[in-house]
Amino acid sequence: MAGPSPAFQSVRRLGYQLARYVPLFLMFAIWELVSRSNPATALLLPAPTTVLAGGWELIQQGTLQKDVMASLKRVAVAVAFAALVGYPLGFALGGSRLFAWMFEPVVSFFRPIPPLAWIPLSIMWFGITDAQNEFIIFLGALFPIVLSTMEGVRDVDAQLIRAARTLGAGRAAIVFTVILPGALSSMFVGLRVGIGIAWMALVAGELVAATSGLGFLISQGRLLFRSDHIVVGMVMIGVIGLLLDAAVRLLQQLVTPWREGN
Amino acid sequence: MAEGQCVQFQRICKTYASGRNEVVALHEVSLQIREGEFICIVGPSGCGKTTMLNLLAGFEVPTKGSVEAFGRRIDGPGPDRTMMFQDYALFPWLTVQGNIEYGLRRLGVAAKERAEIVRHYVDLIDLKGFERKFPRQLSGGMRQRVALARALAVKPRLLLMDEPFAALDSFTREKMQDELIRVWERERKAVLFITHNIDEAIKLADVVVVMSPRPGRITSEFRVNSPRPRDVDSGECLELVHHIRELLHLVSANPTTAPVAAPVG
Repeated sequence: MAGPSPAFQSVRRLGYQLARYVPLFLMFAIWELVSRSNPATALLLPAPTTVLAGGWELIQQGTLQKDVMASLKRVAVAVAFAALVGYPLGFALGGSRLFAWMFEPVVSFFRPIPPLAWIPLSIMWFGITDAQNEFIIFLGALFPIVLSTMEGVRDVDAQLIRAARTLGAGRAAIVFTVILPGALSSMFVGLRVGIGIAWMALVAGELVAATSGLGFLISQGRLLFRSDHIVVGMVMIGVIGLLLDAAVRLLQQLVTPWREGN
Repeated sequence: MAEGQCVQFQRICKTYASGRNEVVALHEVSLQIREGEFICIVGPSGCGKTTMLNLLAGFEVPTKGSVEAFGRRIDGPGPDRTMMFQDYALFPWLTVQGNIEYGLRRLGVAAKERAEIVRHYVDLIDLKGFERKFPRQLSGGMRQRVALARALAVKPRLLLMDEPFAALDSFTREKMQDELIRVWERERKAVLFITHNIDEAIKLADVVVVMSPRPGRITSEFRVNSPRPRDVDSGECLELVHHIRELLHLVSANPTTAPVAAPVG
């Protein structure tokens, strides 16, 4: 049976892809029209074109790049620390009953305290510094990493561990060749959730106490009455958040090629 | 231990604590397996057949008595006794090749030799061209063949099989039984094969061991002498199947712990 030609099919597929974005485009169009309807709304909700112009202005001044880099650096440092602490801690909690018995209460005590609640105390400890911001972000990223890793280690198929043992694997080999790869998917889930929370904690931290970064850009925009800068900051936060998540997912696909859907 | 014997169960008891009660999984079980012998254990669930396997694998220790393999008391799992599991238990993150050579890596076998052994088994189980596939890309029968190759690659003296074909459809299952016999006739390992399928036991085994539950014990043993490949629909096989069925229903009336020699053919 002769179906539609491949060329036709790919055109149709492209059409479907574009059709998805019609509502989004309509939203921008209506936004633009509403914003331009009178000066008051233009200030409260700057039109997309105004935002683009504001963004371009910030890029030319070099402040947007600077703020993005400042925020990214904080997240990178904090998430690196969270991973460094969180993965071993999660492994210990998931792998050792005794350790879990002793330290799960400690984790459970700190976990429900939102990272943002640490802001005042951390300002007293660190002052208004990068370290203070990074501390808040670190707390945001730490718990998802710890808990997902713990669950992942506990959920490793006991049958696989038995299989490894009959094939001559000792304790260390089981940890590195069975438990680690078996828990890897959960470890990535923890990283993704952790980075998501870290990114939110970052913006909140920068809104309150920072002299650079995207959160700072937004709070400055409010003080200077530059609503276009505020929206530029918001959009950048969203876009970078999306890109970070995509980057982690790409990394996950590279590291775990055996998973379904790759 | 007598010449040629590789496994000896001597009046083994195994009890599990279950809340306040004790469950007797095995009661005074004795069994010998000789080198190169294919033993099938059949019995309903709860008869302790999986416990027998776990004791041999070294996952569990008996409450009373001792299990010896190759003249030594079993004190943990080891590559001289490898196991095939019902749900394959292949490492999903390793390719076919990676799974087959897993045990060889643990034993520190050099890369060149590993490659040779992998090639040998990939040929033997007829999976040429699939070396780089991950388990999830394979069918159930193919996965179980990889599990067989993985278990054989470390050159065990005893192969433990825990209802390995139970999850397969009946066509694949029959094919796998033939394949197993073909591989076993070439490698001649001692095999302890657990199943709840009487036909399967008679098709495969040199000795069929019948077990019954509460408490788990061996009720009888049959030596099947007819040459392989066997036709399970032949008169003698059907007769034996019938006899075992009868036994499994009549166990409480007339338990016989002494081995019954019932030469067939």
